[in-house]
Formats: sequence, structure tokens, C-alpha cells
Amino acid sequence: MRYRVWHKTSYRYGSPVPLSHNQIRVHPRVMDCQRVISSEVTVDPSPVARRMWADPFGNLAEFFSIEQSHELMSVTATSIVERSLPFTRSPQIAWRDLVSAVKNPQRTIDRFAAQFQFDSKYAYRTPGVMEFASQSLLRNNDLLAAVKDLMGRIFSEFRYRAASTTIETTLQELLDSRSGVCQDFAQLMIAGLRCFGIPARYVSGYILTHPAPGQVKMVGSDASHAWVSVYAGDGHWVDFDPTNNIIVGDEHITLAWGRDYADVSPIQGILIGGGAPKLTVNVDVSQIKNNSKELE
Amino acid sequence: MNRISTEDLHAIPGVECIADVLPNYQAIPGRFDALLENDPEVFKAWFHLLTDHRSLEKMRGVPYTANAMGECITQRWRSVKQWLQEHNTSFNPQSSGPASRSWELDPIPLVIIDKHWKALAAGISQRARLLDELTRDIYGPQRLIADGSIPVELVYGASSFQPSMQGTIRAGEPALYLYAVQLCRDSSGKWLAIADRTQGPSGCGYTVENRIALSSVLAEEFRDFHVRRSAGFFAQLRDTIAAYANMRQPDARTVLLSPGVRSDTFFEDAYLARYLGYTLAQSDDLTVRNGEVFQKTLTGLIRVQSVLRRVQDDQCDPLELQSNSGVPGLCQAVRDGSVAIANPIGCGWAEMPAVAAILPELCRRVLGEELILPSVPMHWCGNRESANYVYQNIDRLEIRDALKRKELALVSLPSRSASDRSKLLEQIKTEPWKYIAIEPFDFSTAPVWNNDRIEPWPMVMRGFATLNQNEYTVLDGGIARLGIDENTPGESLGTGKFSKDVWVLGNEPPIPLTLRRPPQGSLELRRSSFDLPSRVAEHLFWLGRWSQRAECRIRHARTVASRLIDSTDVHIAQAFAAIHDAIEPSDRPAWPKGMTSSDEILRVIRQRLHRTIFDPKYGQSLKNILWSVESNMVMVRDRLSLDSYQLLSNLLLLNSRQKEISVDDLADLQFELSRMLTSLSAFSGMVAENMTRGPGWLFLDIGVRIERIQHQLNVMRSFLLYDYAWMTPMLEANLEIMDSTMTYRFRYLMNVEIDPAIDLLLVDESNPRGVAFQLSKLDELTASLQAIDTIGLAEQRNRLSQCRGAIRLIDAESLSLLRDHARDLTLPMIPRSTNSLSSSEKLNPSVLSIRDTFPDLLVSKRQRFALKMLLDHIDSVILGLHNYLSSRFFVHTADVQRLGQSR
Repeated sequence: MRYRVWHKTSYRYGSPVPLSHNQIRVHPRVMDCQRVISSEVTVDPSPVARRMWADPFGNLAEFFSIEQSHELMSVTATSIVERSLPFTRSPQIAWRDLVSAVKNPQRTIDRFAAQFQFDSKYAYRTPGVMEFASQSLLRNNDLLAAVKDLMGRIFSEFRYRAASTTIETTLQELLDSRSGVCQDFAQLMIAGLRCFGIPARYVSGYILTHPAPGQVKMVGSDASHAWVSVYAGDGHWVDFDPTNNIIVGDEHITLAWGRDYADVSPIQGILIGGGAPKLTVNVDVSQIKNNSKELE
Repeated sequence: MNRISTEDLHAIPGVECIADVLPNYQAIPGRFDALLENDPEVFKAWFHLLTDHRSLEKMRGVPYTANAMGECITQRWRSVKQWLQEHNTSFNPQSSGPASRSWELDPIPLVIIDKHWKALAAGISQRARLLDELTRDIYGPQRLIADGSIPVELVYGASSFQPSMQGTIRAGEPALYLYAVQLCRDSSGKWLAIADRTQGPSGCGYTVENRIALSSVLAEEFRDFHVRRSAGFFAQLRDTIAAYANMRQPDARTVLLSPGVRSDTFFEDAYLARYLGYTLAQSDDLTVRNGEVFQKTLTGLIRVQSVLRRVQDDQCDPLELQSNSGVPGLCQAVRDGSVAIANPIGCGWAEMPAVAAILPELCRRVLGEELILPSVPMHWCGNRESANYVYQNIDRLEIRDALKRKELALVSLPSRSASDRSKLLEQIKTEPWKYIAIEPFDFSTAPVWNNDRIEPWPMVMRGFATLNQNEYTVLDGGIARLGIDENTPGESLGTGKFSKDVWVLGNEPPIPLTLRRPPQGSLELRRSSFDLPSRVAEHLFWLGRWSQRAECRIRHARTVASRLIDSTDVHIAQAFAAIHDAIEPSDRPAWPKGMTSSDEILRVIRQRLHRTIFDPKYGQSLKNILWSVESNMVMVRDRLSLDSYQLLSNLLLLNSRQKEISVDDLADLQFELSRMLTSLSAFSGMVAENMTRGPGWLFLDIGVRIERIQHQLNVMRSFLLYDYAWMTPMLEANLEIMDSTMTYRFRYLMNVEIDPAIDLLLVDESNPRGVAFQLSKLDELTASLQAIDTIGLAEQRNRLSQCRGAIRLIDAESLSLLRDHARDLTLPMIPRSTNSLSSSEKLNPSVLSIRDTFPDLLVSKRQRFALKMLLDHIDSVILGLHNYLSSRFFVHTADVQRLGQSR
């Protein structure tokens, strides 16, 4: 499947900003199942320094500074990506075996996967999370079955409510309110798996949305998305989307992964002045039909 | 040890060991003591240090008594201690604030003989080399993680590992430029490491300071003992940093990045910066532009190629490290390779106790050597065998966080209850790798001069190493910290009551450090340039202002105090009240109404005087002014000479110790004020005579001039208000406040009268205390600044010269008009042509209606009013100059905010 992704982030500042330093992660990641045909980011006003680098998780990050006074800043990423179904081997592994392999890693591959079993800023273990996740894990031996169970329970027991949470919402608050957005569900699921020593990472990206029957999809109505990647042993990772209760196939587009949102947020910056900034995000994911004349 | 040989020693009958000399000095049972070490060479060294050769001369051949010797020793150290106390007030780095610490330099250095030192130094050097290897690996190829040598949880499970810095240590560049280790000795005297310091190790600045103090008070011993010098170490550190910085750009600029004045280490940072010749910078002083680091200076941005970092890893860059402070974009500059940071961001990882626990094995694997300097016995529970040991021995072990650098206050184990214990065990069992257990440990002791005698106190020592090519060179010496009290060791540099210099005794006189030439080319001659950091200029300016304000306040208060003793006339009393009020022009409370007797008025003045001096709640009290002097002074510590810094420190010490003197005890008050005035005058003299006429001095002096002229304008205005203020006693007081009495007396040899007084205080450009003089100085100073700002300053200078012109117009003749109450309604003090003032400054005609403004004044006092108008005008020009300088040259760190906090 081939997609065109358009992702525009705009800030309108309350007062002029003479200097800002920013870091963005809006370039799609190159993977076995994901080919990046083109990826372009334009920044307005034009930045003085732009540097691309591979971050510690292998994502393509970009740093830029704007040194002229500005009250508006926009970052527009346009990419064309070809996504295929992930290589599925359907690993049959008991999660307890996986955990012991990671706990006392004998192989390099397991050692590096093990870094995703530790607490991070937003995905950390708590007794509440442990209790929630244990129901799924204790009644399943198989890793994939256990993870699916956990995903299904998050999907059914939590309501998706846009803007119901902020970055400061704790996992316990989420467990209490039982409502949140994709980032919350992903982080809750990651934390639940980490409680049992299963390495899990946070994936940011997009998902193709389908308009309701008989309706036309509005351009820019999509949003950035987040889901979970779970270590299945032997260097294999399987992606689960708790917001939609599906195993990720070829309708997701991966931008970056990390321990949680903090590692992969699409844009972060430090600026001088700026008053109260107003953020607008527009995302559009559209499928390019195979017979399309879209240039590669 | 030239003077006394071992033979001499034995010539004193009965002296075989320290116990013969100090029978009361006894080691704490089970602990090793440095003084009682059983080694003839060590004994000899201590013996010669503790006794003084002159007393030995006397002892020779005289029947020996331990008491007599003990008395000699006591005498000697008492006087050494006294010397130190008199000369080293700066050892109280900050007398206020949370970072307050006052440690005493113990007069007895810790002596370590050469052969013992060699073994220890080899251990320190090896440990530095090992930690450097490990750090470079985890931020580089991660081979040691891949092969399991370093357990993955110790990297990715530890918050001290900064993933975003991975790959930033360039090939061939070190991870540790500077390394420090906390050391102690076990009961057999073997040296052990307690903790490693790798982020921005502090303490080596203090070693220099300790060394300078002690080597001057014990100059002979220092020379005779062939104490190894430490200067070479710092030269090496500087060379190493320069070498990697110069790879980026020849003649690179290095700054020492300090967390700032509120940090514990600021005092030392400033000292070290000055010693190494680096610019002291704080995060606010630096900015990243186009991937390069710059320092903000008066003239603009200056490129920085290397940073000696004293800031914690996670406080370096708010953009990438989520810190609250730091230099945004610094990590990117590092990634770009445009700046070398010593030590690189992320090095704090090597400080984890868990890393220390697995060093012996890593040393074998990585260096192929046995670890020479092991850590204090500790067990990391991440290792299964260790964990089992810990479970079985939990009752006698001290359990700590394995991943956080924490000062081990190795005191006896607090008795744990059974439930505490099972809870602890459960915690450890869930995540064993997060815990480390320390064996109970008795710190060795060292002799300390306390309570007029030598006592054994628990001791911890900090050693330092720096990179020299591929090896680590160890600082010959270090800093020892002696106990929080006589039983509890102070584990970190920040705790503990005493500090000690460490003397490594060489076998031959050390080769003096020659001033080495830079490796390539000749040193470019430099004159003071305007690359002064804006923040420093600002602090120097305020230091000038506040110190001058303190001086004015003291003179003022002293004059008022002296007059309070015998005033009976109610008018005079009221006039003094007015003079007093000139001290606090802004927020003084209203005078109580209906006071008719002079006693009443004088009592209120006394109360107010007391308030303006002592009251910490009153913003402009002398006490608070001196605090402001201090807070600016510490900020620019590296810009002031040691002497001038010490002078001010003395003064501030006076301030902090200042006991409140009752208002009734005016004589005492005057004495105390005079004492402070002496210190301040000495400081002004030092600034005038010793400070290079660079931009720093310019700003300091501008601060002084602005403050002085404002004060004088206030004083003069205060006596324009009242008829009686024109009387001789008032004029005398004003001359005294403005320190011009002598000049007046020399010139006029008569009672003080208004015309000559005004001439002297206002018009005479040769009186350094007068208004005209300050104006001409300000004109000169701003002229020098015009090198970096032509247009704006030209405008300011224009205004200054208008004021000077207006003052010159006051001639003797027009002054005499002032006394003439009946004549002449012209305004002789105002420039004749008002066109010379810009429109906004034109005199407001409505104010000229004198009857409305001062209904109680006679119209004939119009001259006086005109004089007031002139003074007001000068005041507004000065205020304008202040505002201009501040907006043009000083740092205004606007609010910094973080984006990306909303999804």
C-alpha cells in the first residue's frame, strides 16, 4: 500500500520569539515493511541550522534553529511511503520464557531488546497498572495471546475521548477515569507489559482512516497516532494498536519508536519569549492507488 | 627534611614513637590512624611536622618529658591556627543562603610519604583509565553491553545514562578529562575508593586554595619536606582541554560552565576559573547558534570551542535532556563536534555505585589487569551470588540505591525492625539490580587540631586525575575532609567540619614549574578587550553601585549619629530629620504630626537611624545593601583580585556578625560604622589602583559614579527644603556626608557658608566628592565605552555635558543671589537658553509657579527652587544614563519556555 502523508504543525505565539531551538521526528522510519519513497520537511520561517541525525533508537531526527524574530512557526512534513504487511512468523513463545531470556540475556539481540523493559518517564510500573495487566497475563501462557488479551481489555474497558487527557495525566488517573487517547492507551499497555518484564516500546506514526459510509473524508482531519511494539524474542517485534484493537498491518505508517512519548514526540522546542503559544496540528493520510500517476 | 635527621630524632632520649610525644593521642579502637601508622619513615615525617625545629633545638640534650614536648606542639599549632584564621576569611565561602558552608582549614596537613603515594596514585590512575574506557564504550560501540560485561540494566535501567548522547564521544577523544575519587582507609590502612566523580568533579579548586594558605603559613616545612607541587596538574588539565579544543579551532576559547552562584560549588568554580585562566560562565551566558556555542559579551557573540563543565549531566540542555536549566541546543553542538565538553555530557553514568561494585571483573576484562584500588566492600544485588549473600546478612548491611550517586554516610546501621527488614527484602527481591549493600566500615582517622589539642577524627580524602596523552596523571595531593563530628565522617566534599591539605613528601626538591610556552607559535599579545560577558559587566556595575551605596549610607549614618548626641534646638533637630531622610528618599514613612520638642524629634530620628542600619525587613537598610554587595561580589569573584575579594569578604563578615547596637549607644555605633568604612575605602582604593582599565573596571566605576552622584543630589535636595537647613550646622553636616570637610577648611578657614559650600559640592570639578566631578568622570567613562557603541552613547554624553554646562553657569555672583531674599526673580541656575534641552526635558512651566508648589516658601527663595530644578534635571539625566546602559549592555534573559508539552 502506498500512502501520502501530510503533517502540519503550527504554533502561533503570543509574543515575538527571537530565538528557538527545535527537535522534530516527523520523517517516516525505514523498515523492512516500510519503504520511504520521499520525505520532505519545510519549516517556516526558514531556519538557520538544520541537522539530521539518527537518534539512539535509530529514528531519523532533525534539529533546527530559527534565529529571526517570529510569531508564527510551522513545520510541514510531506512523505510518500510504501507499507507492506509486516513479516509475520506468528512467534509461538510463552511469555515467561521470553521474560527469562531477557532477564538474563545470553544473546546480544536480547540484550538490546531488554532496554525496553525498564521504566521510562511516561510508561512506568505502578501497583495499579500491575493489577490491571495481571488479569491478562496470568490467564494466558502464550505471549501473543496474553498481549492480545491485554489490548482487547484496554479497547473495551477504556473510552476514547479526544482531549480528555494531557501529557501530565498519570497512569493511575487514566485507570481511574477509564478514558483517554491513543498515547495513553499505548503507554498504559507498555507499562502493563513492563510490569512483567516484557520489553515493549512506544511507536508514533499515522493510521489510514476510513470515512463513515457515504461521507467524504476531510483533508487534515486525521491525527498522529501511537501504538505499541512488543518484543517476541529472536529480534522480532510485533505491533499492537490498543486504540483500534488490531495487530498492526499495512494501514499504519511508522514514524519513530522509543521508550515512550518523550523519546519520539513529533516536535519539541525551547524558545525565548513567545507568550502563550497556540498549537494547531493537521494530518492527512491518503492512499495512493496503484494506478496513480504519482511520481516516485 | 634538611634540618633534622633521624639521628637528631634519636638524640632526644625517649622519643621512639608518636605516643612518646603525644601521650594523650589515642586511636579509636579498631580504626586505623594516619598519625600512628607503624612505619619509621611515616613517624619521622609526622614528628618533624608536629614539632618545630626550634623547639627541638632547645630540647636537645635536655632531659625529655612528654609534657614539655606536648606543650611545644600545642604552642606551635595554636599560633599556626591563629595565623590561618586571621588570613583566611575566604574559607567561609558564603555566609548566607542554602549553600552556606563554613569549613575550617586544619593547620595540620595530611602527610603521605613518597612510596605510599606512588602505590595510591597508580590505583587512582588505573581507575580513571578504566572508567574512561567503560564510558567511551557505552556511549560508543557498546561492545561491553553486547558481550554482557556490563549488564544491560546498568545502562538502560539507569537514569544516569543519557541515550541521546550516544555516539557523541568522537573517536580518539576521552570521556574523562578530569576524574576525582573519594578515598578512605580501612582498619589495616589500605586505601579504598568510596565513590567516583566523573561529571564535573569539584574540589580541585579547593586544593589550590588550601595549598596556598598552608604553604605560606608553614613555608619552611613546606620547603624542607619537598612537598610535591600541584601546579603541574592544572597545567596538564589545561593542556589536555586545549589540545582537544584546538582540534576544532586553533587558539580555542574555553569557558568554565558553572551551575551558578546558588550552587555549592560556585565559590570553587570561580576560583578555579581564575586559576586556569578560563572565563567563568553560567548557562545564561552561552547560546547556541547554527550548531556552535557562543558566549554573550558586551560586543556580541564570541565562539566557544571547549567547556570545562561543572554542571550535572541532566542540567546541560533543556531541549534534549529535559532539564530545567542549561544551554538549549548544547547537545546538538556536541553532536556537530563544534564544541568539546570536559567531561562529556553523560559521564555521570560512571558514578553509579553499581558500576563501582563490578569494577574488579571489568578491570580484568577490559584492561587485563587486577584492580589496584578497590572500592569499599560492597555487594551489588544484580549479581545472584551477591544477592544471596545480602539476603543472609541483611541485618548487618547498609542497603543503598545502586543506581544513584549518593553520599554514603557510613554510620552504624540504624536498627531495623522486623517488618522493615521483610519489606526491604521484598523490595530487593523484586528488583535486585537496583540495590547495593555496603559492609559496615570504620573510617580511618587523622590528626586534627581541635579544642587546642590534636584529636583523631574520621577522614575521607579526594584525589584527582587528569588525562596526559594516554595515561592519567594524578594530582600530587588532594583534599581531605574531616568528619561532621569526631565520630561521623563527612562523606562528600559538602559535609564535614574540617578540610586538610594533603602533602605528598618527595625525596628531592621539586622542580619548579616553568612558565611553558604554548606548543605552537608565540603567544599573541592581548590588551583588555570588550569580550567581557554581559552578565559579568552587569554584576560589576551593580557591585560598584551597591558598594558605593553602602559607603554613602555609612557616611550619612555616621554623620547623623554624631549629631544626635547633643542637639537641643528644635529647628536643628528638624533639619537633621530632613538630612536623615535623604538616606531613604523613596519609601520612608511619614513623620508623626505635632512633634514640638527637640527630644521627641531626636528620639524618632534615632529609631529611624537604627532601622536604616540594622533592619533586615527594611529593603534599603545597610544590612540589606551589604547583602546585595555580597551577592554581586560572588558572581564576579573571578574578576576581582584575591586581595580585594578578601577585603569585601571581611566587611561582609562584619555585617553577618554585626550585633545590633542599641540606638542609645551612639559612640559604639560610630565606631562600628567607621570600621566598615575603612574596609570599603580600602576596596575602592584597590579598585582604583589594581584593576586593569578594561571594560570590567569601566562598568564598576560607572556604577560607583552613578550611585555617588545620585546620593549627593539627594543630600543637596534635602537641605533645600527648609529655611533652617541653610544654617551652618546643616552645611557642616552636608560637607561631612560628602567627605569634603577637609577641603573646605583648607580653602576657607572659616565658618561654613552657603556660597563656598555649594561651590565645593556642586560646581568645583576638582573635588572628587562633588557633583561636577562625577559628571566629568561619567563623561570620560562613557567616552571609553563608545568604542563599542557610538551613537547611543553620544546622545548620553551630550546630556551629560549639558548638565556640566548648566553647573558651570553657577558663578560666585549668582550664588550670592541665593542669600538675597528680596531680589531678582530670574533663575540663574538654569541654562539661559532652554533650547539646549530636548523638548521632553524642557522645564515644565507650570512647576515654575512657585507659590503653588511651595506655598510656605517665600517667593524670594526662587533661587533655591531654581537650584532644586537643576538638581532634579541632573538626576533625570543620570537615571536616563542608567536605563540606557542597562538596556544596551546587560543580559536580559527573557522567559524561556518549552514546546512539545501538548500532544
